[in-house]
Amino acid sequence: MHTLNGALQEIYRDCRQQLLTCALAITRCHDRAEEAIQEAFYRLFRLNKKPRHLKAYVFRTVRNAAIDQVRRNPPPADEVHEFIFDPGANPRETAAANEFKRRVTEAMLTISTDERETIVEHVYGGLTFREIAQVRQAPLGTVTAWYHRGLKKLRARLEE
Amino acid sequence: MKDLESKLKKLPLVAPSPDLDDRVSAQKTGRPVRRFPERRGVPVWVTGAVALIMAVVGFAVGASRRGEQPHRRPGRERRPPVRLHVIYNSPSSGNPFDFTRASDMFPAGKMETTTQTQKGA
Repeated sequence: MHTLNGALQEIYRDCRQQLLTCALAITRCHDRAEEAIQEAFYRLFRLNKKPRHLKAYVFRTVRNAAIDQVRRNPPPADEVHEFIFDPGANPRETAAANEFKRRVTEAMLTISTDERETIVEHVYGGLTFREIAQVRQAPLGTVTAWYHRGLKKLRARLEE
Repeated sequence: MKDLESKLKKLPLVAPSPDLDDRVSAQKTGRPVRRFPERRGVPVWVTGAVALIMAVVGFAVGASRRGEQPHRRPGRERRPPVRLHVIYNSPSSGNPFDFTRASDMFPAGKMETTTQTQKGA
């Protein structure tokens, strides 16, 4: 039990940014994403035995908690939805960089949820396709297809 | 694809709150967050017993009342008889469609009517 909690804390320490980004891609609300992480770790700290693929299991628990958050507290229609990118104006960022960020956000929101989640999990979550397949409980081929199809669509939208 | 991936990776992400670490660490010892109070199911035998008792009481009350005469509910009086207001065409009027003048009122009940047809009217 003690080793499991230690391993969980280590995963949290190494992947907190990635976990938040993946949760935020689902909840699209910073507070709800953080609450999902808390809830997930509440459940994880009470596991009786160590899962086989702990990292994937942690990501899956956070993902499920984020989906639960959205189901329990659906965001109001008039709420401005956040996305994973920092909207704060960084003085070092150029106008072109800000414009690219805005266009990527818009393009991301036009592709399917599966494709978007897979891109976020791979690019920002640092998960391999095999790990994503474990997180999503989907075949490896499906996950890679979601990723490549999503990226292709994203590129097409950005080139428009 | 690789160039797009590297461009995407350079975008700044929303950072976790400074207190998230403490909040997550607190989950190790924290009490369970129950959004809804825990429900306790009613045992089947209790449900069955209550249903049986209610059925017995219902039959007993029904059997004791079966012999009684029907009685009028107090405070409810008979309504006054309805009057029938008939408007008909007055023979003195020159207008065959004038139904405004002559009229009679009859108490409600059985009424026999006869119809006369005038030739050349």
